[in-house]
Amino acid sequence: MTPSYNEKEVLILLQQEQTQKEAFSWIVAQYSEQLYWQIRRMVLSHEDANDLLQNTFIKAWTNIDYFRGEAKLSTWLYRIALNECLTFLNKQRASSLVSIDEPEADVVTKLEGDPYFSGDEAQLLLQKALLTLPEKQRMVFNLKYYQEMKYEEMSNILGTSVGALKASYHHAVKKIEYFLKDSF
Amino acid sequence: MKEEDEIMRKCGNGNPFTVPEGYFDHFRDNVMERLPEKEAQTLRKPGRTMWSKVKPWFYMTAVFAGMLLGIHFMLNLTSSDQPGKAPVRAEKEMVTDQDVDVMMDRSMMDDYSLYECLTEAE
Repeated sequence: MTPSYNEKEVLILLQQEQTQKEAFSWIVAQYSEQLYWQIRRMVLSHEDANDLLQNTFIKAWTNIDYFRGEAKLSTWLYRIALNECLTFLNKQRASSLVSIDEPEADVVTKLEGDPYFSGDEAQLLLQKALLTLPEKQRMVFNLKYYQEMKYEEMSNILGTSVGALKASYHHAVKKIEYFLKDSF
Repeated sequence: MKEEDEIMRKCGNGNPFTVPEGYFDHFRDNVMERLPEKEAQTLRKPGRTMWSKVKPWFYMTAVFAGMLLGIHFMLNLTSSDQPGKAPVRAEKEMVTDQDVDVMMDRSMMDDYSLYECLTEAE
């Protein structure tokens, strides 16, 4: 049975070589699912999300000695995960040969045929709308809309002011509403 | 009323994505297996490289050169309006860099010995 720790206990265990791996294992168990969904909403494909999630934890492990607990564990992990996402999406965009007019069309077509997408027409349309947003704005929207994350926490993760995040979310909502208005 | 209510009404905020069965159950073990081994934090014996041998001499030469420069600047900057100290300063002013060079050559002292002399004199 996996022992249960709180964040304070985990930080202490992380400082000691003998217990570091056990503590990290707890971290993986604790945070993998929530990080997965955040990554998945950005990259859409399960295979890509799985790769990025693993990379996130490997990166976290490699840098665990530098984590001093100034930020919350979750904040630190989210930061790594979302940076992995952005790096991945930038590379994908640079190497893909999609239509300039509707770059999201290709991705949505893939999504329709994805066995790990079970959304209805409306949810598919919403994903299409989300793909018209700049990546960071889409990230903000996902964090707020799906996870109901507080702006203060978002600000710590993304390094953007609360005011800017609120404005970004507001604009994202307006863009999506405009995109959806003719479809419903 | 939240600003995203309209979107919520049309599309909901349910999760349209799924994962293969048992994915999260096995994820932790998969990741833990892939973690790279941490490099052992062993104390290394300090190696005697050429630089480590030359370093003390280099620093002493730099200190000596810095002191000479400092003395040179001070002699140029200080004025002669302190009568009590004037004779000493005058003595120092009479000794030029060239004189110092000649003295150094004739003393046949190496840099380290000269450094020791100067620091003892201080």
